[in-house]
Amino acid sequence: MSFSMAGKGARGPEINVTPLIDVLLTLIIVFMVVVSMDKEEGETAQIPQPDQKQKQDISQPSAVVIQVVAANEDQPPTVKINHDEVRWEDLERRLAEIYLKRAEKVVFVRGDADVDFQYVADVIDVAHHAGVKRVGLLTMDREVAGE
Amino acid sequence: MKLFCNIDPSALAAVGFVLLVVMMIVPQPHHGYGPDLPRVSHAVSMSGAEREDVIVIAVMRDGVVYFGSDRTSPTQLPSKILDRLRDHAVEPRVYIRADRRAFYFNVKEVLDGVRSAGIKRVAFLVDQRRPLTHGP
Repeated sequence: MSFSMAGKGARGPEINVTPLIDVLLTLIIVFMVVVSMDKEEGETAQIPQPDQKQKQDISQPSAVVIQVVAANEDQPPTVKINHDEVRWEDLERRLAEIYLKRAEKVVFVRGDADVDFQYVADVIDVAHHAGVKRVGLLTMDREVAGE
Repeated sequence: MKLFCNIDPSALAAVGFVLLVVMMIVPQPHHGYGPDLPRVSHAVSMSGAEREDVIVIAVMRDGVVYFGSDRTSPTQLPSKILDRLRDHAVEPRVYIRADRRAFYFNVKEVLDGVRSAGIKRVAFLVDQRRPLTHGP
């Protein structure tokens, strides 16, 4: 840069770099703060422990089990509430209806093995938003444990 | 003589610009590995997951499981979790970063391992689908 300046004379036009540096430093600091303040978000769930009380919970006739059943390839899985198939759009409304008059806001979620995790996460999310307080995830040991 | 004592501002500007570009490109430097988290609409803020000593298990899209940053298998999870719970006064909760396209089978294996360690509370880390709106 200084070579070309020398050729055209010492007082040629020149960008004032000081405000440019100010702007750059401010932007750097802003980006550092934004990156470090990246908030984690999540969905809480519980895993029923194999003790006597929980087994009774699941085998109670009033227990609500949401099942995510794998469909054909390239089709989204279907979702069932206690064996009744519901549409994904209706899931939240149905859950809200069910839990409106219940004191114990517990739901159990069971998913097929080859379902994408996204759908299970969706079910947990919708259940929480429908007013369910505790979501219990049924894992493979409990497949036979009654509904 | 004054010329030699000046800072070269254009070099400083160049360094600053490179730093700026690096900051913009690196999205989340505190998670070097990153599964593609599920996107949901009503995620709750989970500030506990940002602590250094929490138990984080990652499930990748191909079913590979990481305990913290160590690759492991679901069968080894209970002993690893119990080790961690013995060493520190860590929160008895497991944070799971599962890829949204991982088979639920792989997540279930992890959940079984977590349950074998006696832990009841888990939390799945997710991304907010619509960050600014909170309506349904």
